[in-house]
Amino acid sequence: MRVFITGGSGAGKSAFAESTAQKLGGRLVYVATMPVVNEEDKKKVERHHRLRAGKGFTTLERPGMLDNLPDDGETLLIECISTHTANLMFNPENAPSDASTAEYWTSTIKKELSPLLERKGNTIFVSLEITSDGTTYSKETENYKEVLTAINRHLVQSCDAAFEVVCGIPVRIKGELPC
Amino acid sequence: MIRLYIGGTGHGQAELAEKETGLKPVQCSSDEALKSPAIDKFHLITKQILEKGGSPQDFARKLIAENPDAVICSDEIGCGIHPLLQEERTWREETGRALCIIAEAAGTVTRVFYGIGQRIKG
Repeated sequence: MRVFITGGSGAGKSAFAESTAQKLGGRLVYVATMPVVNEEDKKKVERHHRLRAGKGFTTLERPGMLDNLPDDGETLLIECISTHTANLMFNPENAPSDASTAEYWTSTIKKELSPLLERKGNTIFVSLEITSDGTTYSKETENYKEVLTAINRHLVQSCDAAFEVVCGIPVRIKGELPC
Repeated sequence: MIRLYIGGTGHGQAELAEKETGLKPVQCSSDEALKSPAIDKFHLITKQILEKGGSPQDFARKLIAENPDAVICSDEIGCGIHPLLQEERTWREETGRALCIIAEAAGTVTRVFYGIGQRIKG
């Protein structure tokens, strides 16, 4: 089963994603996309570690490409697509000027995510709502918004179930989770 | 029981809360909120608490313990681009977590979309 989970900052996405993974069962693998570059990141990662403690997850760090992930029936929880998209788009090594269009990144990331949508085990994608502040940003940030929303739309269409978490409450957008 | 109304800025949380509960939400300080029957703009209270070095999550627990029948209105502020300033990032994340605590204790949670309420709990 493929599940898409989104919501704003601090909305309780992780807790819902973790309980969804536990519900789906199998060997649980948490794929962490956040690169740790400062004290704020470190605290965030420590908080996530505390929250996952005792829930049976193995953690894999993927601050770059989402490659070499297990494909033997595990339940993968990928957190999160918004950070992953930023990791790729804002890494100078990955963004030569002639390839830095929103179309290029949308197509590249869709291709990269394709095996994760086709694998046999359960895959849970956590993303983030970033476009509801009505503000216009720099060209780079507007490109990022365009790419992430395109990827989110693609994932919602491709997944069996999709939820927006609001104040810790999962609001169903499509599909059902097994009881 | 706590009744929570949330939504994007300007979506009409206070108006709908007043229509449904008969109580007019009032913008107030954190101390006043502990006694106020209907609180407006909870997200600004969390900002004041952070500016004074306090914890919005601790305040949320105190609020539901001391004012267990409050009507609480708040903007959802966590759905934009990551703010550049750490204080703003902390504010939106802490507000989100405080609202999770209130929503868990609330009897009803209503998400307001331009005046139309969607009951997501209760």
